[in-house]
Amino acid sequence: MITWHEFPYFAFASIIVWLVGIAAMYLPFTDTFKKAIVHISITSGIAAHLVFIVLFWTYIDRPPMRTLGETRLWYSLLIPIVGYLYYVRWRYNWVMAYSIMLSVVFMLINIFNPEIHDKTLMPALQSIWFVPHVIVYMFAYALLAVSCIIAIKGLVLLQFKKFNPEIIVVARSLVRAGFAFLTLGLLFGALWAKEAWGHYWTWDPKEVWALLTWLAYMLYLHATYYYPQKTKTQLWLLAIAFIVLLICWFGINYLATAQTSVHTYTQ
Amino acid sequence: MEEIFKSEKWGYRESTVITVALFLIGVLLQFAIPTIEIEKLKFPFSLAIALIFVNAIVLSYFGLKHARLIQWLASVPAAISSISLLGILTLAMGFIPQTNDASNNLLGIHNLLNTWYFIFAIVFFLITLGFVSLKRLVPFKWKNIGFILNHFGLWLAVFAGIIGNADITDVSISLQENRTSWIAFDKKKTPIQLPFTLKLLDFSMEEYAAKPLLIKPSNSKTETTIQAFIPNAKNDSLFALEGLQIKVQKRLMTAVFRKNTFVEFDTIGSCQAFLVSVYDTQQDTNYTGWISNGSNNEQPNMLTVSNNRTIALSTAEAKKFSSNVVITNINKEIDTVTIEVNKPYNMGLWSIYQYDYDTQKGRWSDVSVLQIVHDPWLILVYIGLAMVILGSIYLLFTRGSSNDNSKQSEQ
Repeated sequence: MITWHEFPYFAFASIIVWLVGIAAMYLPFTDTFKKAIVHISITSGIAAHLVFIVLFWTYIDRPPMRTLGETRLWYSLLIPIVGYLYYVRWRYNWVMAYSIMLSVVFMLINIFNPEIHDKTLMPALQSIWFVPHVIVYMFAYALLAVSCIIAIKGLVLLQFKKFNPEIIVVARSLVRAGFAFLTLGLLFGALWAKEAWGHYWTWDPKEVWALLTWLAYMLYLHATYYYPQKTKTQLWLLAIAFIVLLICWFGINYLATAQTSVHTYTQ
Repeated sequence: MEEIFKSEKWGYRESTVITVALFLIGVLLQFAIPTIEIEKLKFPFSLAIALIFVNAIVLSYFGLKHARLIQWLASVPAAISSISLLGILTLAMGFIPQTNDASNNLLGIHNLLNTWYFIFAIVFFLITLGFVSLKRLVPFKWKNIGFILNHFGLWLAVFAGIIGNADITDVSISLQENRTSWIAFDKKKTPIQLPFTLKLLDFSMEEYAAKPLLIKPSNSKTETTIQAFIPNAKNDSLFALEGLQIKVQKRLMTAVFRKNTFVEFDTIGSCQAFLVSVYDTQQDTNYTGWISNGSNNEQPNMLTVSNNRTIALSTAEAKKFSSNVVITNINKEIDTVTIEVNKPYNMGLWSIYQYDYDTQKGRWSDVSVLQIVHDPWLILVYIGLAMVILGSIYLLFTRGSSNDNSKQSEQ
């Protein structure tokens, strides 16, 4: 039986192998040896976390996507996957290192401040849309988190006049994919709402903030398209858009406007 | 007029000026005419407005293609302006509580959706999106397919959604078991006659197993869930919490209290009851007793253990509820269907949803409230959404267009 009580064992196992992998990237090993260590340790850390989620899912007998703690579980799985894919594709050590660091932070939050109220699945949540809606959103959030890391890195480099224009290319490709997932998440939510409540859009506070997040990244995509030379503005837009995303994800629980939302997880 | 036809294009400075002006006109208009009754623009007015809007866009695009204003409306700076204006108003909606209460509603900020400036923002958005869709639609090229799916799809969904909003019938009907009814009520309690009749055969509901709770007297946050993440406490489940070992010996989902004990009896007013035994590891003592969550007919039962703590049983949560309904339409065709949350029944453009029940009676409710929605524009909205979904998939599997490409298309 796998519950939150067993989570720390899995989490620390993942964290340790990930740290080994990241350390290996920066140690003076031979190239083939280094590559082998990095690939094995990063993927096995992801695998360990995935195993926990699968076992936990089978044990609780419902998709673990109900509470904020459970969404963090997915986030800390998906961010390293994005980082790893970017490492494989672009050989970006630091993107992977940062994304794993972010994942570790979310794992530690779940270990030290677990939100483990048992939430049964109310009838409105029992839908075929539940899993795709949440997974697609979490994947979008993971991609956009990495784009935010890159934006901050870019802003720092600009400050020290060491800017590498490739940052813009990578950031935009991340947002392009992230925006596609964000759109799918939003529309899956709309189609689900129609099935559950009779309307695809009701201006629920979470919907308002999801729309705002979507518009922010839409603005970024159009701005980079038309004003490709305005690097600094682009990077700032990305950093700010991610703040909007964070408010949409969990800041909303603290807003006065959101007390009636169907999406608040804390009650 | 000469000026407008000059080929020099408007950039972000002009865009900002126009957008701010548009917003201010909206605010002034809001000040002058504070109430707008958009919901009155039903068919045939909705269709007329839709046709006029589409006509205006198509005709002005092809007739005045070289006018500076039209070129600007189909440009990226206009898109950025309209996204920004809509974004700022959405941001305001995200922070200012939205109510339908008319009092203390300066310039409509508590009901932003019904203000002139919001309508201007959305119309501006639809105009820019409409022009830019036309620009890539005619002449049609396959390399523009992703762009068309995303832009035209979004335009269609938003346009049909907004124009069609007034034509949506959204009513609820309260059905008594074994009675036939066809009169539903809208949000304003106006009776509406349905083109079909409904007869409730049976309302049924399943509950989740309740959760044992440990209640401590001193703490302000009194309740601790023992059964965290165990949706179904089986018989003989064992939990350890705060030095207590709690074992569920017997679990009755429909129990009544008879002769000093709980027995399984599925009747109106039965409740859930668990026989638990508790072992206090610190004081080496045992407690055994029934805990139950009570109902209209039954008192809740608790078990007191050491240090003034009690073990109680939470109220049960609904797992599933549904109505078995006979529907007779105008052609006298009869259909017996089960309507459940997340599983509406669709009949042409009508959809029937399980909405509510008599929560006082819970599982034994003989009343079921159904929500009935008729949305004639839905098909257009769905076509638009389907296009955007395909467009998103296109985004995932292609690389972004280079900037050379963008300059080319801007010319």
